[in-house]
Amino acid sequence: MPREKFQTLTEQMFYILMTLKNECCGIDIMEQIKKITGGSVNVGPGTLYNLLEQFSREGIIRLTKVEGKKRSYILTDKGAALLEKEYTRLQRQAEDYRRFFTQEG
Amino acid sequence: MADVKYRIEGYDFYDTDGMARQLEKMAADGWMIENISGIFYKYRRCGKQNVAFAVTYFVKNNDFDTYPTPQQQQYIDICRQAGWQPVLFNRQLQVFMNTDPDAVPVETDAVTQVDNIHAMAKKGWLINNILFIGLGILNLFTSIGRIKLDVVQFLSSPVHIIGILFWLFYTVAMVLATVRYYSWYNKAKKQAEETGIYLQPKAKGVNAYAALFIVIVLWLAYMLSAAGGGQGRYLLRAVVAVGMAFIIMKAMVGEARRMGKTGKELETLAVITIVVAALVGISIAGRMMMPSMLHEETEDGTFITYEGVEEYHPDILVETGRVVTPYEEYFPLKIRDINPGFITPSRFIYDVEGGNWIRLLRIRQVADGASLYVYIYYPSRWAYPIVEWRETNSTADVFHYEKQDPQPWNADRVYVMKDEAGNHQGRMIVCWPDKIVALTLPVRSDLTGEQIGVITEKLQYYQPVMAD
Repeated sequence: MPREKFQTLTEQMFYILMTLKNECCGIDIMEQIKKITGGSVNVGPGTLYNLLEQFSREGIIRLTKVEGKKRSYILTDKGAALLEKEYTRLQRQAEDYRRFFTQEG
Repeated sequence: MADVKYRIEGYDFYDTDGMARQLEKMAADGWMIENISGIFYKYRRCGKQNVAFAVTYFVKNNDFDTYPTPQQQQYIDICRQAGWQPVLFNRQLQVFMNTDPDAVPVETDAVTQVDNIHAMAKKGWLINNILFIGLGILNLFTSIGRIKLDVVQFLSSPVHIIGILFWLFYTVAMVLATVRYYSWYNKAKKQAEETGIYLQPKAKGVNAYAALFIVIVLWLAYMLSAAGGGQGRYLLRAVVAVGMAFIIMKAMVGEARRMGKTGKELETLAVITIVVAALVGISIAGRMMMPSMLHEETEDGTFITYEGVEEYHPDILVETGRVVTPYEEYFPLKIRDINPGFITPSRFIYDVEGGNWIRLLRIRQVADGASLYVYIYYPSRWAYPIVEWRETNSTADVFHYEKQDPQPWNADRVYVMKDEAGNHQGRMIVCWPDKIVALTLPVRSDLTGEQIGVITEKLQYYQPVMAD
């Protein structure tokens, strides 16, 4: 059964939202993600466009300005809450992992 | 040396990676993609290039939009900034190229990629498939009904036979394609959500559109070869007329697009042209399904041609629904040969149907209020017993066929229709090696040796010569 949309975030969704804590345009998002992750996560332009569209539609981000071909976005309150929720989920997973392996050791 | 190359590439629409790898291979061989229209790929000669391709869909585009749309332009701009240059757009399909073979792919999120492809499927492909499957099932049911009604009539028409094979093949192909797609989609969606890895569709399978194209070509070729002269001509005209109408439509839409017409206007223009093309095709093709001409032999031995006639005869109600084809010779057996007392020359209606497997010639004649119907079947060897079985078993319950001595007829078998009281009903079936003749005689009694001799002499070796 497919999971509900944005119930959990994929790696790419997570990093895109993270970079949009500050106003940012498409190409800069890709660059920032590359920088933050040391190149271990790359977001393709097609994926980026589709996700920005979906996030906008769901009110997770909003368009702030259009300068020529550059369109900038920023995280909304709803988006920030979603990101926080995902962070908590990942943190819990990491915590579970740590506890489990500590007990075993 | 040609600069343009056309190829049929049987990739499923959701096998975007397969398509991209093929384009890369062609570019490495010196052929750059120029256009993709369904399964037809047009390449133009270029220097050998080691480049990466990406094939994606911009689902928001409508079929009649002017590309790129403003929204699509935003997509293209982002791709350009990432090093991906647009190569071509065709409706929703987009192809990008990157000179850096190790560039970050256009699509990197498996979930988004699968969702995008599924949105594309729902936009047109699935609806088309479901419509075609419904149409196919309807046609198969209709064909089965026709077989039940009259197997000989069904087999005598190449249109019916090829029609049932076409719909059977195509319905199965469509069902398989749909099942295959959903099988891939469900697995791909699950894998994308669980592992984040995009599931590649399996290598090229049976592409329904490629199958459709091949089947249509074979079908038309067979019909044109099997149909009689008149049918073949009408069919060819219908195909040419519809083909030309579509070429004109494509040119008009292209011109209107260049003039800056919007999607809605282009859509309306295309719909009008398609309707006109369909009406032209139906009207031309429809003519071959009905008798457009009847030829009646007159007393002075000439033919009168009645054009555009659906049902005509002064004395006999002619069964219609067939192309009526004249014969250059007069039918040798006349009513006065069987009833010597009759002096009025017979008037004839001829018609013929069938193809390579069963050909049926009907000759109906009247003279002085009496009538003689002669139906001659020329079946192929395998169809012979089917025709004989159907002819000798298609009687009302109160009648039956009795075998008669075939010796006087110089035939293999002869049947006479009788009622329950054993009275002759004036209907006989004579089976000669190359033909089966069903006679509805102007007399309802056993024929004399002389009458049998005349009929045998005139019909046993009779071969019609069809007029062009």
